[in-house]
Amino acid sequence: MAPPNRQIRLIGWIAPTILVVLWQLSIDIGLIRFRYFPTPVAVARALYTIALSGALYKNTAHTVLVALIAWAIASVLGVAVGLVVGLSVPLWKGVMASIDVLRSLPIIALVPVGVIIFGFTLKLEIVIGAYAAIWPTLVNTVTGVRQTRIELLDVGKMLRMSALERLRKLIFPSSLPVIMVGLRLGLGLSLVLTVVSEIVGTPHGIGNALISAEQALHPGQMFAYILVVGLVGYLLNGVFLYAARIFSPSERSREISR
Amino acid sequence: MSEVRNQDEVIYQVHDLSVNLRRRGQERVILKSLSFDVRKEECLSIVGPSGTGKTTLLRALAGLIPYAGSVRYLGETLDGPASDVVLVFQDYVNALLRWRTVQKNVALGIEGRIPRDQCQERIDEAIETVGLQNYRDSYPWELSGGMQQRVQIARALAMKPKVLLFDEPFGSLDAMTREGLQDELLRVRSVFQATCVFITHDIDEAVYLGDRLMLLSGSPASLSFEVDIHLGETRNQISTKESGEFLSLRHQVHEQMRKAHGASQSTN
Repeated sequence: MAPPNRQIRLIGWIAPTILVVLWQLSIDIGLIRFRYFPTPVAVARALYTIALSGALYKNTAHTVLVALIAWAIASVLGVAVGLVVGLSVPLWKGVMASIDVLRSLPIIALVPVGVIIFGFTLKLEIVIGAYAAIWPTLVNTVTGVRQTRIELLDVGKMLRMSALERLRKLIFPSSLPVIMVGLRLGLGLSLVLTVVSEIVGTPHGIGNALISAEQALHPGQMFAYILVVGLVGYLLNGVFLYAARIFSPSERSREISR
Repeated sequence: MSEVRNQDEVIYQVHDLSVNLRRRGQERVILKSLSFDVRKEECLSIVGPSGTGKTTLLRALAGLIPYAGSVRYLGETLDGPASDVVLVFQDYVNALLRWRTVQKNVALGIEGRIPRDQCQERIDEAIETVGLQNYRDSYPWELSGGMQQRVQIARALAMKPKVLLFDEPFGSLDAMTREGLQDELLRVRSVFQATCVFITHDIDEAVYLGDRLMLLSGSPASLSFEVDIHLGETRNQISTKESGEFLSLRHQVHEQMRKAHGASQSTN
């Protein structure tokens, strides 16, 4: 399996490399002439500068930590509420329409509301990040629970399991793959919205550094932070997938059969 | 059918059992006025065409669905899954927990209910009985269909049930595997003295495995034929199936099935 995989990875590097080279060349030969559009080399230099000054580490650590806290809160709440709603048919009928409306509201539109309530504080960042992440987790947990096979529930009844046992041994594990997808979407969203509330005004983190660099006319640093935030998102997702694979061996089967 | 019988010898007493099911808001009568007994340690085969309500009957015996009439299990009115009764589902893919290994699947019905060492003993015994000792730590999706069904049977055996209800357990398996599992079932039954109710649409299978056979037919379904099977304790896929007794039983059941089918068609 390893050789073709590695081949794909090597091939995957070709497109971005060409793109970066073209970017550099088109500025060098004057094809693009924007005053504040840096070359890749300038971005790399800026990255080196902020890494050396410690700003990169401080800002990244802040954003990642806040996003993870927000995500953790959203995950616990989303899964808990999702389980309750998914398990109770009357509750599900009663609140699902409201949940669908609420989660369809663009979260960014709610950021100003958060600013009025919390000001530019750490609380704002966490609340906004958690609010964003809770919806996919909640909705996927409900879906997962509702999708539990009737055969499996019959097994539970046949083996005379208590309600709690059925939840713990049958319903929760069988809906876990769907819940995981929700958690993964939530992780991405909490990072994005954390950065958004930093851009809007919270004086910490990558978002704040990005907007400061813009205002100080440091396009190189701006692009460097964009690169960093992309990398952070990619890494968080990767770590999540890796952890998920370790904890649920049955999911590996799907990849193999695919 | 059987009238006065020693209480100890009767596991189920079914009298005037009817089941209605709701499908898309419409109430349909699935089973109408069935009366029969299930005797201790026998294997009762219930055979009937697909869609007659065999599974519904078994689910009623398992206590999984509400019914009208009377079902007595060990003398007491059945109002929910009874202890010592286990149903083996046809759909093994969904009846097994894909996130648990074979061993953990077999443990499902007894874990936390009996002491740990005793639990492990029973798991090992059940797994060995179905011949899966080399697959303890495999996941169900790594096994063939026949092996997965064996896991389900082992899970049932580990609970040491008095009654095993089989809902067309070999229906979705290929012929070779099915025959193997039929013989295995006979062997298991000689070790674990359990009462079995075995449902199938396959007449050969019903005759081969049963001590008694009942025919379920019509819509709503009712019992239309019953026969005792005297094929002896040890049965063999080749010689038993060539024996005169087997062939004549098979013939009778086929005939009755055709008759019942014709009757139900002419009323339609």
